Amino acid sequence: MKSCFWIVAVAVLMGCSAPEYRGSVMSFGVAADKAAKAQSERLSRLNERQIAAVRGQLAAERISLAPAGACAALAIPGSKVKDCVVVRSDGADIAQPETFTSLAALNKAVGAYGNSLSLLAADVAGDAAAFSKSLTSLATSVDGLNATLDGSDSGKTDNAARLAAGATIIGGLGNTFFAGSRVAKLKEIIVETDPQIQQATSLLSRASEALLLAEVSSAIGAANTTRTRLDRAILTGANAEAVGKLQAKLFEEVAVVRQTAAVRDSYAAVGKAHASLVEASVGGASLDDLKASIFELAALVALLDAAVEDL
Amino acid sequence: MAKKPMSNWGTWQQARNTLVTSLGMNMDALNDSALASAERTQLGKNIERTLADMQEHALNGLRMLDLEAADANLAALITAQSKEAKREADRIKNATKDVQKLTKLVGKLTELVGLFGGL
Repeated sequence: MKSCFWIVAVAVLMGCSAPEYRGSVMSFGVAADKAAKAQSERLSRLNERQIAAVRGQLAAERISLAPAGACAALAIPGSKVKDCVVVRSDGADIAQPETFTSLAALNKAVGAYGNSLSLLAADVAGDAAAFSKSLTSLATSVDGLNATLDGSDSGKTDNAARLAAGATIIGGLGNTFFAGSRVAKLKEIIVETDPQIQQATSLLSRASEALLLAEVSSAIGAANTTRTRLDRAILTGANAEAVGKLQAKLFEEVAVVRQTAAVRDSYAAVGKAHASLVEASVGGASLDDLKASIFELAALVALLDAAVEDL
Repeated sequence: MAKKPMSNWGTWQQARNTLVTSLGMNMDALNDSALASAERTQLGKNIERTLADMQEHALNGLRMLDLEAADANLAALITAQSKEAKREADRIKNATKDVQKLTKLVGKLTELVGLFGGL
């Protein structure tokens, strides 16, 4: 009766472990990780632009700067390193760039979630090989022990073959268990986490919208500065070479505006993909749906790779 | 840079759309103006101001979302589930390692038995 139960349990687990399901989970994991990395990079670039803007303002206003007196104290061990900063000689504060730590943490969490799901959904074949090998080694070792206890090597070859065959069968069952165990856990985690993932991807998708506004307006700002210089060059009778250089710069900067606007809102797609996985987890998605989701996510990953390179 | 609370994302989007429309109109008008005209200078200033407003509006949006992310505590909840997935993956990996450890143990026992047998 016990063996019947295990056969049924194994069959049920195998039935749930369609490669398409794990493939979709892995694709989702990779896409979520890439989306997180892309937005983290955009937040980091925003931070750099803020620093450049603050420094540009200080230069334009010809503000005198100096190292803070606290820097001298660093010669004594135990002094606070963070107090050694650049200060304005007029005593006013230097504006600090914003880091948006909670958005950064949320990106990191979504990326780590994607990575962990990918890891758990990873190819069972890897486990199969490792587990079978371990069991075969164990069987051979046990056989060696038996032979030593018997005080002879007789029948060792027969025993080894028998035990190795047994190990392969047990290994196979172990792999089936691994596959079932992975899928069961994946389903549980995906269904449980969906409300948070939907909230997070909605929030990060809006953050992408705000970042796009900052990025496009910054790129247009650069083009507008060049336009002002071009106007001045023409009005002051600058030579054709100088005018040509500024025109070429303007062409390049408008190309950057177009490129910046091409950044896709990947988080909306990531949220949608997670919702599809929930559907698949509760049995509502067909194999075709899952395959389509793998292709969709693979295309998204390719776009994200290109977008990050363009940043 | 103080954090300004905003009512909702729809309001933010409406304000963004207004700024974008205003920028586009000023850019078109500048392109139609005479190069040395006072109108062009004024339109150039309008564009700069609108671009600065767009930057500030983008930061306001991010501030609002940063607060929302902090309040929802989403990062901690998602991280907990990531750890659960990682634990399960490790558990499966360790199952293989346990068999390997057992193999080593049996190997050592064999050596010991062989050693005593030889005495």
